[in-house]
Amino acid sequence: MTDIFKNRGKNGQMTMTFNWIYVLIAGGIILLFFVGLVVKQKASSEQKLSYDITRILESIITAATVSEQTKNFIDTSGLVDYTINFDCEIDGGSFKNIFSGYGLDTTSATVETPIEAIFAPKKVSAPEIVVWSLPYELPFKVIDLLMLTSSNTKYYVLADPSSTDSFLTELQNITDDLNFEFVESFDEMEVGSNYHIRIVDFDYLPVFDTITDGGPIPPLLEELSEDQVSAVSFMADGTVNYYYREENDFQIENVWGAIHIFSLDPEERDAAKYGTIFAGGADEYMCNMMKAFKRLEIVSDVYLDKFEQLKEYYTENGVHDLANQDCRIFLEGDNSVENLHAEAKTCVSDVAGYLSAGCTNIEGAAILVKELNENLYNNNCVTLY
Amino acid sequence: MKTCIIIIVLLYTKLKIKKMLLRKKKGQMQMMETIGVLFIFFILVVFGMIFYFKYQQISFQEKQEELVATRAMDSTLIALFLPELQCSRSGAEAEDNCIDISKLEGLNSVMSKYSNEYYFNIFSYSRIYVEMVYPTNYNWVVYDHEKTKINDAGDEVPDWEFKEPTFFVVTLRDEMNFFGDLTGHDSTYGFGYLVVEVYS
Repeated sequence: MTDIFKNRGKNGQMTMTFNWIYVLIAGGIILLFFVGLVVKQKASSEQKLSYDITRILESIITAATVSEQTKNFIDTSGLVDYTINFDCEIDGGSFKNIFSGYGLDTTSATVETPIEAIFAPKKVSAPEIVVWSLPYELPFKVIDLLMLTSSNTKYYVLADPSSTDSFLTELQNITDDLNFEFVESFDEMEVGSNYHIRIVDFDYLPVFDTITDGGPIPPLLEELSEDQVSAVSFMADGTVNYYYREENDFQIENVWGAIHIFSLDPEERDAAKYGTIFAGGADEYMCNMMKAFKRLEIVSDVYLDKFEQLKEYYTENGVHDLANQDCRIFLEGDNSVENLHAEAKTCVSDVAGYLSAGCTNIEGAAILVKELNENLYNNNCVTLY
Repeated sequence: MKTCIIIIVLLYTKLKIKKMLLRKKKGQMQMMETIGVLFIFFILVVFGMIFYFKYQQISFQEKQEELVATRAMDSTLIALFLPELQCSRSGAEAEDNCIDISKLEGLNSVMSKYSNEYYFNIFSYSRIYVEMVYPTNYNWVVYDHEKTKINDAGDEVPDWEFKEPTFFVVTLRDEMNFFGDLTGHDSTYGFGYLVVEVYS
């Protein structure tokens, strides 16, 4: 009998222990399940947030691009912990090989921008983003170039204060609400609370401190990391050079040669020239200009069609009307629009074409189109653009 | 004595069997209870999953509709400010919400030419057209890229679930007597509306 009670007691103990182990395992599994659920939810909500941010940014950029000449200040104080990357690369040579986009650092949320020309720093991490759209005209409006910068990207403009350069005067007036400062020497450049410093050198002669290949960076900027300092230098012949920081020196980025600025009217808001100031680097500038040339190829095709319509219209109406006959004379035998279209086509076919003298003919072709339009306008004809 | 022992053994065995039967019944009861609890637990899990997936499905659909609406707005905005369409006057600023008929006339062929390599990146699957209502009714298709698929019979059929149209009133500038050819009387400006239909 004692044995029976002993066995029964052991059995009970066994059952109790087994129950507790069972509860522990089951509880652990349930706990693990919920922990997994929370982790998964956290990751997915972070991903969702990054996608939402890029989507909103996309809408802002679209709206800003079409609101010509207007500066838009976008509050991004909620995004200061994020870094927005802007990239534009011509991988292989032609427009078809462009890889361009922006997105949040360390996430897969990106927006591809194969069409939009956005001149922006390579990285932006700021409480406020500024977007400014400028129309690019060659000679008719081709595309809106979007200048994008941030409240903590500082632009130090190195220039002779007695300079009579009209672009400099315009730059000084137009950037008073941006983080721009006009200085004469490197000693005036400080880091402050800025994320990136861009030196814009207009000192062609040079009278004061200037940016040179292998030359030193301003001493007060040495505390910044290498990718937080960059420079762009305007040459007297109208070309530009980009510089990056390597240790405490500046190194030229466009080793293949100075970059030509393709524009017609340097007196008025020269969108292509403004683009050089805001672009992240030489590659980014050329890549975005390549997009502009592709659009030029297409828009000139539209104007080519309008040109043919005009020719037909004045041929039909110019028989009895003397005024219309004059208009017809301007149009007949003119192939300026066709030439401009062909030049644009050459420019986008190869990045080497962009750099070579071949692409620079585009300005000459555009001037001829402008002359044709002026002739039509001055003679009360229907204008081309 | 012997009989007594046999009776006691028999009684003890009977008691044991009774106890065993009772224990077996209790075990069965516990087993049923566990199965019942598990059954209800799984039913609750299934209900939870159905509810979750249904909720996800609805929110996904809502998100999709929201995205299409945003895309439609963006596309309309871009279309309105296309240099390929806008009324320009030499170096002056372009006229707002104005479409140049002479550009519009040849735009469809240009857009078709560059559709895949360029305009698809802007407008994706959508249809853009201009409806003129004054001085006469007329329409121009600017861009047309419908989302389609090939069905089992080998026919090309539409492959979109919904279409988000947006409308915008525009003026139409005619400098080359296009309206005159259509209506018989000259007029430099007409009006109509731009329609952007986005497929999803």
